[in-house]
Amino acid sequence: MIYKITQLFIITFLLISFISCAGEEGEQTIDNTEAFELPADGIEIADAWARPGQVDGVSAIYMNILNGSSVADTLLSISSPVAGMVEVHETYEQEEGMMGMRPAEVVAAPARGALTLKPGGLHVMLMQLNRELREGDSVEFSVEFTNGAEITITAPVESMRR
Amino acid sequence: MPFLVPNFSSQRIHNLPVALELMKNQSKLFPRRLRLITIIGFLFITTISCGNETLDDFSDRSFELTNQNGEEVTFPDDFEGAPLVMGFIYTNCPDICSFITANVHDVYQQMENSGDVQFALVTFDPQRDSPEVLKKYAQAFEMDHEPFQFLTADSSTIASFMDRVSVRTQESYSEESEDGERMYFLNHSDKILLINENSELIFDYGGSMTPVNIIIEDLNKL
Repeated sequence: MIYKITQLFIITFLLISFISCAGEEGEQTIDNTEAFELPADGIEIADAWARPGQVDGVSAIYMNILNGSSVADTLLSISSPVAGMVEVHETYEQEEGMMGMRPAEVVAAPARGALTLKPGGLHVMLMQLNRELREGDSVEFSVEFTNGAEITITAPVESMRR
Repeated sequence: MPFLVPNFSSQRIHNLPVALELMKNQSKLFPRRLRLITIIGFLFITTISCGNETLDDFSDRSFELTNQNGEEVTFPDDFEGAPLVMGFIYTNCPDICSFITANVHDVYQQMENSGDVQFALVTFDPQRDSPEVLKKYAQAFEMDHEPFQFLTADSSTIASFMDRVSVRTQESYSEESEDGERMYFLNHSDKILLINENSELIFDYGGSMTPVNIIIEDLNKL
């Protein structure tokens, strides 16, 4: 009798350990819920930030482009005094976890909508940096839109937006 | 008729009900006592091995690399004896690779006790990423200090090394700047590896998107 109870106890203990072990493959949830307050009219840029980068190196700027007007708007040009070349690129995933980057063809903010440039997706690529960008620095850049708006904004440099 | 025994030795069987059903079907060949011992054995082995199953062993080869200070570093020999968090980057990649770099930094920063854990970022673009370039990159990310190492080597060594750690790269496209400089970009694996003190690969993470706390939890199990 005692032998059987001991057997039962050992099996129960190991079974619990086994189940808890099997459940260790952590669940990851990423909250992509984003709410934007659109301007009453026209276009605005919000939440801009830039990545660190070394002299002659590269950096990226992320932001939300908020279009309050009733027509879509397209990014026409972008420039920054800290970079020799500025382009909008997009990161994309290929097969088997390979990541790539390519110039974005058209960057459009929908009517009464928002366009998000964020890590792992669309980003402004600053190339040929003429000065180092470290956390705590800031980057000035100007964006021109097809509908005529020109916006100049300063973005803080952060290693990771938390 | 041959005596049939389920093969538990060739690989770990994760599906316990399937194993039990297999034994039940062979009940005449599997006495009750033997079945009980097998169940206990299976659960015991699975339980003790579930923590740190190794995916690879890097101790079969050595690679001579150079860190951002121009010092020679041999992988894996110089890293043996303590866990290693290793990411793969190139400095002309401001999006994904910045994320990988920041994640490695944050693992170190957010660990309550990083102890002797080692941190390395290896470039797969040795043509442009010299030790001097890596040093400037490390400085921009406030990581030009111990325990961080930014590693490069000659192109041939890096190609062999990346092949050994299963990091793939290929040129995606190139363009010319106004001053005639050719700029090229790479498609690449997105990886951070966790390697134990015996140069064995324990975990292979998506480098840019893996939450830092998961890597820290795994490190704390070593």
